[in-house]
Formats: sequence, C-alpha cells, structure tokens
Amino acid sequence: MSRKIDATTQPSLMLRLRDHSDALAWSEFVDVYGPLIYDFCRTRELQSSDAADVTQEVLLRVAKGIRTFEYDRTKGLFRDWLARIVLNEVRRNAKKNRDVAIAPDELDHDSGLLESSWDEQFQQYIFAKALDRSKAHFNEETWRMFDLSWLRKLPVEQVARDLGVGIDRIYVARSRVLKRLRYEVAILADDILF
Amino acid sequence: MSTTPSPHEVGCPTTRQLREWLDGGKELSESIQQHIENCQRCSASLAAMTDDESLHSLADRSQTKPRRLFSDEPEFENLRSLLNAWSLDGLSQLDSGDLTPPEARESDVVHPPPRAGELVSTQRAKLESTHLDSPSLQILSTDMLSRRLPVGRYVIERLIASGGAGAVYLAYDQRLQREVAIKILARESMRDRQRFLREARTLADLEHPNVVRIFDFGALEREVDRLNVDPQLEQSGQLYLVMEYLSGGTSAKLGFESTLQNSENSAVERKANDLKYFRNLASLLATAADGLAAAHAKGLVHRDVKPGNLLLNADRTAIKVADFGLARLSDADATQVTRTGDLLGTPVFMSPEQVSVNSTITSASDTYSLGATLYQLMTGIAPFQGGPAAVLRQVAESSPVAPRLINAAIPFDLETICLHAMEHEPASRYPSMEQFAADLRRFVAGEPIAARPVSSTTKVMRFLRRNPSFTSILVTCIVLVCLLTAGSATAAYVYYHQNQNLEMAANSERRAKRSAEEALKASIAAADDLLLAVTTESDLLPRTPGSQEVVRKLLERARDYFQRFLETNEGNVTLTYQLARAHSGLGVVAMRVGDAATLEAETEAAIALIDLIPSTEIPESKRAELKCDTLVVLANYYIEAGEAKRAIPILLDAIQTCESVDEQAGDEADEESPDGLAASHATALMGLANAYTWVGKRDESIPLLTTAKEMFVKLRSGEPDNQSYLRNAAACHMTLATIALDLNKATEAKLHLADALVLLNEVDENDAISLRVREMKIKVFTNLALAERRMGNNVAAKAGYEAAMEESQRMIELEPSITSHQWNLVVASLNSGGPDIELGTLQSLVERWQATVPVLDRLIAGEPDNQRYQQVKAMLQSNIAIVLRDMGKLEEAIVPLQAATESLRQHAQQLDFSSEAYLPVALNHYELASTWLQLKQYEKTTTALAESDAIVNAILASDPDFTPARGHLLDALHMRLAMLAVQKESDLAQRDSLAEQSLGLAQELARNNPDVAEYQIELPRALNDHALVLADASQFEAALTTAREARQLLATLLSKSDSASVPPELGACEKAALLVEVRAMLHSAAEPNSPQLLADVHELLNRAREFGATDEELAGFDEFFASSSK
Repeated sequence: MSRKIDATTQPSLMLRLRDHSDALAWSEFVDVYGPLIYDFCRTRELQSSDAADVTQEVLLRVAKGIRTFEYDRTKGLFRDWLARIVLNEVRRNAKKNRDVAIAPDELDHDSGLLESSWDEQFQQYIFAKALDRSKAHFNEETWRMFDLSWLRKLPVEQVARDLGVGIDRIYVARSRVLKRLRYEVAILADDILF
Repeated sequence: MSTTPSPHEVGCPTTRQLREWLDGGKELSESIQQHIENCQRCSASLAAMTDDESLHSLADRSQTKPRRLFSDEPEFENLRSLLNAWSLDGLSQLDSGDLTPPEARESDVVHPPPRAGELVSTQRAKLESTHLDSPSLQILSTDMLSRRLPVGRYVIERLIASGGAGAVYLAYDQRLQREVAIKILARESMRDRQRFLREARTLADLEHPNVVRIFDFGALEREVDRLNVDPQLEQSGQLYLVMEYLSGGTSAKLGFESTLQNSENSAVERKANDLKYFRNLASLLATAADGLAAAHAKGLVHRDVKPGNLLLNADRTAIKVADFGLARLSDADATQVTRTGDLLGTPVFMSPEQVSVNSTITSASDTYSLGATLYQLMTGIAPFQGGPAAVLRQVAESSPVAPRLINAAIPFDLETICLHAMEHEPASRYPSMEQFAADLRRFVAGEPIAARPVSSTTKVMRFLRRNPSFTSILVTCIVLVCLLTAGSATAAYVYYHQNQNLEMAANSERRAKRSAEEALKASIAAADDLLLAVTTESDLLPRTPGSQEVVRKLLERARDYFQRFLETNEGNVTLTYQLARAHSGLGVVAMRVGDAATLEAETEAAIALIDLIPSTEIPESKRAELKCDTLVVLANYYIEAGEAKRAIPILLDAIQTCESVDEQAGDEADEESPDGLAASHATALMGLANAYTWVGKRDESIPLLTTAKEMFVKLRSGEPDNQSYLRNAAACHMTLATIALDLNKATEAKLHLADALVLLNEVDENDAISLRVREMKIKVFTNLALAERRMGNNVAAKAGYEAAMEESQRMIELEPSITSHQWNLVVASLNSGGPDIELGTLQSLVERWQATVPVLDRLIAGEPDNQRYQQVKAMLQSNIAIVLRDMGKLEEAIVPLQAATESLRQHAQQLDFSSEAYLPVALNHYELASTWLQLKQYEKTTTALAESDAIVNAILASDPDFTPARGHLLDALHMRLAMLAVQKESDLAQRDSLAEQSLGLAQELARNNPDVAEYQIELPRALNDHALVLADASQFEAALTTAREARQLLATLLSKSDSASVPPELGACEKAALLVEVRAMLHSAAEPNSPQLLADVHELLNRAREFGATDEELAGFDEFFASSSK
C-alpha cells in the first residue's frame, strides 16, 4: 500500500486550471498569484482599491487564457505572459483613473521599467512562496538543517555540531528539501528554469 | 603488494551510490557513513549535489531584499475571500467569454456592470456586513493530516479533490483494511456544524446501493506538536467524514464524444454508437435518481446535484450519489446572507427556486439539478452560458436551449425527459425522483416515455434544424428566431454556432466566384426556401406570441427579397418564370398579412406572366403548378374572408389548368402527372369543395373531397415522409364528416372521422406538423362524439368528448399561451353534458364541469373584457345548477341559478343586446320555472315563465327571424300547459287557448325548418298538448283524432331515425301521444268492454311501456279497467 506522492507527475498549476474538475486549482491559483499581482500593483503605487481591481481582472483573464489555450508554455515563459496581462491591466487602470488619454509613447517608455521590476518581483515572490509551500512538507528538524546549512549558508560541520546530528543527515535533508523546492518553483512558475 | 589504501580512494562511494542515498532509496553502510564524515572530497561532492545554482541566486536576491508584502492589506484579504468563493465549476463559465465578476443575485442585472473600481468595494461591503467566513481552503499536508485523524487508523494517501466546502482525500483504513475517502470540511459555524452532524447521522442510516456510504465522522484532533500550524486552523477542530471510496471517478468524466471517435465509421454505425452512449447515460442517471429517491424518502434533499457529486463505481455501471446535504452553500435553512455571499458555487446546476430569494427548496430542486446534469452530459455544455451572474439570471428567468439543437444526435425522447425535469416550475417537473428514474428506464428500454415534449422553443429549434440549407440571406432571420424564442442570453450560443456555419457557407459561395447566372440560380433557390418557410413551415410553428413575431419578420424579409428581385430583373424575358414566382411569393406574403389589394394585384401580375412563359423554357406541368398554386392562394383568402362565392370561379380555373396538362400528358404518353402538380391539383379540389360547402352546395363538394383525398393518399404513398399529404387527406375526411353530420348521416360521418383519425395517427409525433395535427384530432374527437350522440351511443359520445378534453389539456401544456386550446377544452366539456345527462352519470358531469370553471377563469383573467368568456362561465354555472337540480337537489339549485341568470343578463347587455346573448337568459328563467314547477311553486313558475317570455318577445321584436327564440317560446307554452294540467282547478278555456297558440307556433316552426329534426318534433308535441286539453275537457273524440294525428307525424319521424336508437325527446313524445290516445279511446268507445278495444288498448299500452312509460303513468288505466269491468 505505497501510494506516496509522486512529485514528478503532478501537473503544473497552470495545466490543472484547465481541468474543471480540479477544484483545488482555482483557490490555489488565487492564493499563489493574487498576492504577487496585488503586491506588484501596490509597489507601482496603485491605490489599494485599484490594486484589488487589477488583481481580480488579471486573475480572471489568466484563468480564461489558460482554459482557452491562449497560454502556450512552449512559446514562452509563463512569467512573461503573465507580465503582459498585468501590465495591460495596470495601464488600463491608470488610463481610466487619469481619465485622459495618454500618449502611446509615454506608455511604451514606462513599460520597460515596469517589466524589469516585474521579473524581479515575480522571481522573489515565487521563490518565497515555493519555500513556504515546501516547508509544510518537512518536519522541523529537517527544515532547520536545510535552513541553516543552505539558506543561511552555514558550514555543514557547524550545523551538524549545533544540532547534534550526523553530517550525512544534513546532506540528506538538503537534498530532499531542494528537490521539493525545485518542484514547487517549477509548479508555481510553470517552468523548470528561471 | 599491500599498501594501506587511502581512505579517499578506498572508501569513497560512487556518485551514483551517493545519489541513491540522498534520494532515500538506499541506506549507506556504517563504514561509508563514517567515511563521509571525514572525507573532504565526499563532503565537497555532497555539498555540490545538494545545491542548486539557480535556486541559490534566487535565494540570495530574496534574502537581500526582505520586505513586507502589501498583500496583507485588508483590501487584498477581501479580494481573496471573494475570489475563493468561486468554485472552478463557476469559473468554467469564463470560457464563454463573459468576464463579468459575480454580482449579488438581487442586484439589478439590467444595469451595466459597475466600474471595476466599485466592484471590489461593493463586494467588500457585502462581505463585511455578512460576517462571512472566508471559505478559503486549507490544504493540509497529508502526513500532517494523518496525525490529526484517529491515531493509527487512517493513513492519508493523496488529495482527490477540493472545493469551497472542503477537501477530499484518499486514505487507507488500517483497521478495516480498505480504501476510504475522507472529506475534511471547511471551517463552519456552530449552526452548520449541528446540521452537518444531524445529516451525517441520517445519511449513515440510509443504506442504498446508489448512495455513497458513510463509515465514520468526527472532528480533527488539534495539532500540538507542530510549530508551523496556521493559528486559525488550530482553533477550529474541523469536521471530517469517512466515506466509501469509489474508483470510477465522477460522472463529469462521461462525455459525448462519439462524433469524434467514430468519424470514420458509417453514419449508421455512428448513430448506433450514439444511441448506445445515450442509453448508457440514461441508465446511469436512473441509478442516481434511485439514490436520490431513497434520500428524499428520508426527507433529505441533496441541494447540490451535479456531475461532480455523482460518482461512478469501478466498472462504471452505476452511480452513487455523494455529498448529501453537505453543500452548505445551497442550504435551504441558510440565511439570506449565506446565500448571497456564497451562492456562486455551481449555479449552472441549481434550480430556479434555489437561486431565487424567497422560494422553498424541495426534492423537486434535485430533480431539476439532475436534469441539468443530464443536459450537460448530453450536450457537453452547461444548460446556461455566461459568467456566474449571467447564469444565475438565466436560471431564474429562462429555459435552456433545446439540447438537440446543440447535439443533433440526442434522441428526441431523452431531450423531452431532460427538459421536463428542468421545467421552471417545480410542480411541472416529474412529481418524484421515482418517476424521473422510471422515464429514463423507459427510454433505455425503448418504450414510450411518460413526459410530453415541453417547450415551444424546442419546436422552433426543430423547425430551424429542418432547414439547414438557408443561405446567407436568412442568417439574420435565423438569429432573429433564436433571439425571439430562446431568450436573448441563451441565444448567444446558438447565434454563434449558426452564424458561423452559415457565414462559412456564404463565404465559400463567394469564394467560388460563381458566374452571374449561377448566382441568380442560388438566389432563386434561397427564395424558394424562404417561400417554403413562409407558406408552409411558418404555419407549423407553435402559435406563441414570440413565434408570431418570427413569422412576421420572416414575411417582411421575404417581401423585401421578392421586391428587390423584381426591381433588378423586371422585364428580363429569360426570367419570366422566376419573375412570376416572385409575384406569386409577394401574393403569399400579402395573404398572410391580410392585404387583399396587394394579393389581388400580385396574383394578376403573376398569372399574366405565367401565361407568357414559353413552354420551351419551363415544362408545362411546372407552369401549371405555379399557376394553380397562385390561384389557390387567392381563392383560399376569399374563402377565409367569407367570400366563398368569389373563390369558386378562381378554383375552377385552377383545376382546369391542372386538368388540361393532365389531358395533354395523357394524349402524348401514358405518364402520370408529376407529384408537384398533383399536389397542387388536389389542393385546388379541396379548396373548391370547401367553397361549395360554404355556399351550401354540399352535394357538389362530396365528390371533390373524395377525389382530393384519394390523390393525397396516393401522393403520400410515393413520398411517405411528407406529413402534409396525410394531414390534407385527413382534412378531406373531416370535411366529408361535417357534411354528413349536417345531412344527419351520423354513421357515415363516423366512418369518415375514423378514417381521418387513422391518417392523423400515422403522422410522426416528432414531426413539426404534429402540433397542428393534434389540434385536428381534437376536432375529430369532438365531431366523433357528436356523431355518436346522434346515433344514440352516449357512452361512445362521452368517450369522444373526454378524448377531446384530454388532447386539449395536452395542447394547453404545450402551448400555454394559446387561448384556443383552453377554449376547445371548455367547449368539449360543455358538450360532454349531453351524453352524461342521457346516461344519468350526473355526478361525474358536475365534477367535470366544476373542473372546467378554473379553465374559464384563466381565460377571463387573460382577457377580462371578453364578455363571451364571462357569458360562457355563467352558462356553465347555471348548467351545473341545473344538473344539481336534476340530481334532486331542487332547493340548492335555485340560488346559483338565479345568480347565473343575473350575470348572464349583465353580459348580454354588454354584448350589445344581441339575440344570441339574450336567449341564454331566457333559457335560465325557463330552467328556474321548471325548478319551481317541480317544487310545486306554481306562482313562482308563472313569474319565471313570464320573465322568459318577456325576453324572448323582446328578442323577436328586434329579430323576428331568430328561430331558436320561437322554439323557446314554444317550450314555455308547453311548460305552462304542463303546469295547468297538474293543477286540478285549472281554467280549461285558458288551456285551450294556450294549446291553440302552441299548435300555431309549432306548425310555423316545422314548416319553416323542414331540415331541422328538432323543430319537426314540435308539431306532434303541440298536438299532444292539445289532445290532453281536449281529453280533460271530456272532448274525447276530438282528443282521439288529435292524438292520432300526432302519432302519424311521429311515425314519419321515427322511421327516419335508426331503429336501434330513438332520440329521447321523440320517444317521450310518442309515449305521451300513446297515453292520450288510450285515454281518449277508452272514453269515446261505443263498447267499452269489447275484446277488440281491450286488445288494441293493451297493444298501445305495451308500446307506451317500450317508450318509457312508468308504472305510475300506467296505473290510471288499471283503475279504469277495474271500474269498467264492474
């Protein structure tokens, strides 16, 4: 009776969103990307209510785009596709709020800046989220071994000594957690490599 | 050589060994473990193996810039709760392109969606005001969860599914060694908790093969040894439920795929496969219905029936229903609050009463949802399209698009079952799950189903499907049809698909770059289609207000088309035939909109052109066909307008045209005329027969109808699918029957009606024509009943009326907005009184009539100003009172009779003092008089009769030719005489003068109406009255002569009727005459005791007994014999 999770076969969150019967996908989707988009909007100095509107709009559009196969992972990064939608919505919102037409070049000028900050925020956020999600899969000791020796980059020997465990266990812990972390990142970013 | 190997070289494990160890696959030996502790090289390679460059760079960046995320702001938290409230099913609506965020159901949906900026805040306000728990999902890691379940019992294996209400895991029950499904419920309020416990207990009780079994339930234990647990989660102690695990998955996975899978198969195979799918689907859903029925029997309503909650067993042969009453989102007891905030679970499968505010949710809601599930699994799309708000609105307000329009492979019966289950009104659906299941099984077994085709929308859609060849000029018409019938929202889907197909066809036509000539041909073909739609098909549409609008638009469209065609091509000699067609088509349009002048002008133009067509261009038969059809249209218009005389020469011309072609064909070759011409010919013959019937030339129309009928039957044998031939043949029989009835040939009428019924029964129930055929059947049943009644077969007559009523009832269900169906029901009900009175089945008659009153009330409610309905209602009520009186409830009848009389009088006044309206008032006074007479209230009888006479005389003063009034006057006289006859001290002179009056009136009536049996009987009746007066005046000789005169007349009348069944009034008259005759004979006889006289008297008395004389009536004669024999 061994039915352990086989991490490698779990489809990406994006793909699961296509399957209507996967009820988890939507709430997970909202929980994962909602804060990212909202946060991005706020750092772009949108009002909180505007940020909420843009986030809602983006999430709906993404869900729709994935279902209608508008998003194609073979043709580019999810990150970039999401960026286009977010930037579009941010601009639409800005236009609406300013209530005046903006010259197209002004927008274009802006978009380069927007994009570079997006990539950074996206990566940071996804990593933090992946870390969070991974953490739930391990017991405290394992996590601490990983945290100290990898995240905080303390020497393995020192960690082994501090925690009173064998060095081998630290490597095993690092290996297991990293594997999970890679997997979570891949799921969340819908991409193996950043 | 033995050198001590360096630890590095000897003890270093291979990279592969290390990898396997790290991955947890293999343990390392003790020595190697020690080795690693000390080996730099191994440490380095392990460090490298347990690192990840790209992750590292990510980690570095993340850690260098730690900052607070804005997403803990309340604005975002609100948005998250809101979005989480949507389930994926609800979101599937996004596919259709509607991105409107869900709105509260109560919000005014007509308004455009509010600005996005307002949305969140509106929703936030709602969320705050409802103190709504965010239904956000806590996804627990599996081992974490296992630890919180009863220790050592369940091992969680994986997450199966999750949604707003909770998450379901696959787990292994170690104690009982089986797989189970464990549902962890989302956090809930105490109230929900109690309800859950209550329902879980009930459900645990419910052992049914089609309900998912519950093994256990409880609350999760608190996690104490975890540091990273969400503190909120910690407080709750969520409920869990252990259920049977089904490996077959949910029925959402079923799907209609045959058209894809079998694209290489033949059409026949495909059809067989399709049917197999639908039968399998129906039998699966029948098992689900069984499960739900069992729950309903325990008072449990599921409230969230949808594909995802119908689980398949391992071999996918049966369904088990899961998630009973657990969907708190659709809870009937839930407050308003919960419903608005949380409603957006799976609105697609919700019943209208579930989405509307103040409705109670019953087991009928599950019926609807199971119907919606069937819909989805048949068509592959949800019953309603659009965003959650749009779906809610549609569920509440409209009916879904007919499934067969989306997937033509769906069997008609299954569509009917589905739409019946999805009826908007709970009371209109299957009354129980058992009956739903039974109908599904009937479909599986290929037996006739109990549900009747439901919506008129279906019929319109069917009409559209029948005409797929419409070219682009009809695109707008079709879209229009959809918009008008299906409700604009659901139509969007249909529009999209229809439009795409038709646009594609139109484009390919354009791409083909047809020559001008070909383009012209194509447009003429399109016009033909249109003309067909206008002339025949539009007639078959249900006559609901919406479809009338469709017909009107079609007509306008056709008119525009023909006019444009004429404008561009007028005078083109090579197109004479087509031009004539266009003129003829314009005529049809004019006829349908009642524009006589245009009709006449266009007919003339068309005929002039037809005569110019060179026979080299178009075959003679085709030319004749067009001419005949054109003429018949005009003639039929005249007939309908009441100008049958004008129609006759036109029809003769039309027939002549057809016959001349036949003759030529007969001369040249022994060939049959083409079907098209024969059909036109037969239609013209039928039209002529109708015209003749209208002008009273019945003898002339009989042979025409016979010929036309035979032609239609023959045409039909050549083209078995053409239902309209059948219909026309039946119509011929029906007219023949009407004529036979008018001529008092009931038996012949009955035979014709039986023939008509046989033909009508052959019409395919699935054909669009069937609605009109049903109407014809109603007429057949009514006339059949009339014929039977004439023949004295009251039982059969009653059955006929009942059949007419039953069929009318069905039509009312099919086309509730068509008042004529309700009217037919009322008329049949009223007429059914005759046979019942004859049969003495008064109780059932009263009940039937009383049941008819609400139908009339509905008619009146629809048209409060229609005096006719009011009048008929008053008549019906007085009829009920009269029957009650005849049942012996004399006193009870008086008050309702008086009330009905008064209300009839009022309506008569409203109806402009017309004679027809006033006569019923007089009749009611007469009935009142008759009631008083039976109560022996002679004064009141006299007063009532005087009222009656006053009205009748007033009628006759303004309308001296109104025969029924005279008949009524006679009835009143008759009653007066009867009253005076029972009063001992009556004035003989008065009686005599009344009898004289009555005789004069009767003679006049009988003379003026030689064909009406009803009036012929008046004369012997008056003679009887007179004879009785004479006898009472002891003028026995004169009495004898008069009575014999009466009997002579009666003998003639009796010889005309079938010997088996004498009309009752005739029999009563004969009896009365016999009794007077005997009395006069005995008193006037020279030799009272002569054997000859006694023998004669005995014979006459026996005859009187045959005609219904009672012992009481005969008793007087026994006394007479007794006294005279002394």
